[in-house]
Amino acid sequence: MSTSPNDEFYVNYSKMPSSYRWFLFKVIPLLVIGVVAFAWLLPGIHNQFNSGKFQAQSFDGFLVGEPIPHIIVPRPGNTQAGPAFSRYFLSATNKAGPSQKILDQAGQWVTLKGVLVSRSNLSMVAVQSAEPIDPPTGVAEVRPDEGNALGSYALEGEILDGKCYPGIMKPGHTKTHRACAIRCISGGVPAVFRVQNDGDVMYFLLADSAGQAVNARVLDWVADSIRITGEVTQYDDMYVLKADPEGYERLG
Amino acid sequence: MDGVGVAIAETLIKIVRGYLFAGLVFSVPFVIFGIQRVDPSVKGWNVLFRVLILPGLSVFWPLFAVRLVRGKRHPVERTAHRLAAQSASHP
Amino acid sequence: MSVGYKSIQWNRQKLIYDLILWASVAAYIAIFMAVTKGIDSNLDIRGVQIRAYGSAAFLLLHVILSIGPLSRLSPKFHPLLFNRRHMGVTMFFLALIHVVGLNLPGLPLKTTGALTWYHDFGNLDPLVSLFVGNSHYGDFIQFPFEILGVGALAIFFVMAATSHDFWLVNLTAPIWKALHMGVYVAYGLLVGHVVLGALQSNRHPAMTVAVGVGLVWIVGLHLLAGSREIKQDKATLSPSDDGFVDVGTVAEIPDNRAKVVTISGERVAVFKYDGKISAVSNVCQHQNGPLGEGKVIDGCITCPWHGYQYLPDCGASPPPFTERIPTFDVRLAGDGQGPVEDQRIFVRAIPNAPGTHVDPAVI
Ligand code: HEM
Ligand code: FES
Repeated sequence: MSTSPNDEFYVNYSKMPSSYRWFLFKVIPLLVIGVVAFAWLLPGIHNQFNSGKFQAQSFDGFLVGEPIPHIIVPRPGNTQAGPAFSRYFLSATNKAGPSQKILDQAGQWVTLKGVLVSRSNLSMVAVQSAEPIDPPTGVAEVRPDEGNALGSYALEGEILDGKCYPGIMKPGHTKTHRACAIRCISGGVPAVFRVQNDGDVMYFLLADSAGQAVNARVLDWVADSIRITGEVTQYDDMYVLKADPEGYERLG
Repeated sequence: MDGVGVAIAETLIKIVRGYLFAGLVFSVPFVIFGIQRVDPSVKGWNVLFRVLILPGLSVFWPLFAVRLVRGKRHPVERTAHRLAAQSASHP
Repeated sequence: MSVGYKSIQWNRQKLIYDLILWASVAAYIAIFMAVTKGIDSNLDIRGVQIRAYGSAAFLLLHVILSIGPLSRLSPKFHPLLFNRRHMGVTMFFLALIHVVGLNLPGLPLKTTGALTWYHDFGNLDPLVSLFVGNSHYGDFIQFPFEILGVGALAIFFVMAATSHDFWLVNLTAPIWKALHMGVYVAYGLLVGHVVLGALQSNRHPAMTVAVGVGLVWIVGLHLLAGSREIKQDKATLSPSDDGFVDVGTVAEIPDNRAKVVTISGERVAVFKYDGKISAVSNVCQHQNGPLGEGKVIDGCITCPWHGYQYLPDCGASPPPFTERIPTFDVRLAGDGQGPVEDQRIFVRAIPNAPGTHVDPAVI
């Protein structure tokens, strides 16, 4: 081989040979198109967005501290058809249960200020403050511990936290959200059991068979696919699944 | 979750932070005063250059501390040809 | 080359390179967020940035890892190679934003990172929570994928922190290169991070397919480029009694170019220029680029990777630069009758100390 006048060679500080220039004119747009295509397509296959909603709100209701902190709020209007009360479980505004200052008022009627967080039929309140008030008149008597025993069930689903899941997390359950949910539940946010039957999703708050809070004992089960066999009790519009964490079973 | 796990994680984080912080404590005066003794190609007062190499110095600082103490410059790479040339000239 | 370090050496081409790079990254993030918003205007899209930045970094990593083997397959990719370090540093910052978010005073772009989003506001320091939150360390599918991300981010940090030429000189190129081979470990960790993380939550088959295709592309490209290299290195030449190796004929080497042969455990570049033959070690002192794929320009062997230069007859960079590489004695032998092109080139097997002058063999 001898001299070829077109022996092009690229050095970054010299003028770019024309064959290189042409090559780049083809390759770089291709790369950029690839970048744009990915940015265009990826969000669409992240089919896991949360329709969670927030609303600053205040509630007049009866505050319950144990085992699951919640507030019992009379439903307005005609309540012939359903329960006379709605129950919202509570957390603080961070990854914690409601503060001691608020829990100290349990067993009383209060005006509670906070953020209503809801995702489909799961609603809870991130509490900011609570002021005691007089019991309202013309409202049926509250019986916090009186529930409707629905029987024993074996339910398959996933434990998640009651706050970030209905909140802005995406998707707020399964593995990517595990650590976050563990932080919340260990901080005192009620643990929720999510059961999906085809399109229907049901939520159960968790307690042990003695009706005590289970937070510290379920941490290792969070976000995993598990089966819980226990008694389901309906308190107004809130379902509680009572089972000892020792009896939870891991699936798959 | 358990206290042991938390204690281990906290300790490891402290060790890493401590190492990097010690690195920073060594490196800031080093880039100002000592660096030219290890690498004579560092010339003039290019501040941005010195800031750019700080994070790396905070990781590799023991290497530079040893060179500084021993009064050594940076080594030259050891490739097969360089080693062969060396052993040929000092048999 | 190292005659007083600059902070960042920009020239026209590097500037164009960086502008295209950063514009593409910005376009990616902006389009990702806009398309997400467009799915349903009622959606709260906070937290989606974690995915936008994470996937941007992962995508850019695929580009970075492709450039190396592509350049082995065709020199046309060298314009993408020479400034790859800026790509690497950009990728590190994207990954960093994925983890710690972006909240610089005076900068309007503010986002939350995975560390704050998932671990803050609880009863533990977020960093501690990161390590103890998911504690299924003994399990495969349930393994805390975040830890794999931590490993990758640590590697990227070390690589970005040592990306300045100062580190090539002070760690020496072979050690620097070994350190930067960590990018493959990081890539493996990240495939785990995504497969055991995002793909466990998001079961859309297209996500899995995309990660799989990326993996096959990266591995396939490296196998293809690697198999060529191995073939070349297998053909190691041994010296005859006088210590010289027959490396071929003058005709095999194009003008101003080299033939690469393997002698004494490493490649040697035998250059033909100005009717002369010189041989030097193939290994550029900068980043150990392949000098034998370079060209003699203005009388200097010019490295194809970043353009470092060496004088062919002494293996030294022209003053004021100070790089020096080993040289080899050369001589020509022919029967004196045939055409000069048929003269055979002999290279001494034992290299000379870096920078040693050797008289070129005159054709
Ligand atoms: C400390 C280190 C890291 C942590 C804690 C971390 C955390 C996370 C989390 C929690 C997710 C799931 C996010 C979600 O679905 O919303 C995720 C996804 C992801 N991460 Fe990381 N990460 C880390 C490092 C990295 C690094 C270094 C990279 C890449 C260069 C990376 C790339 C990705 C990718 C590509 C995804 C999938 C995004 C998607 O769903 O499209 N991560 N990471
Ligand atoms: S390897 Fe960078 S110029 Fe040779």
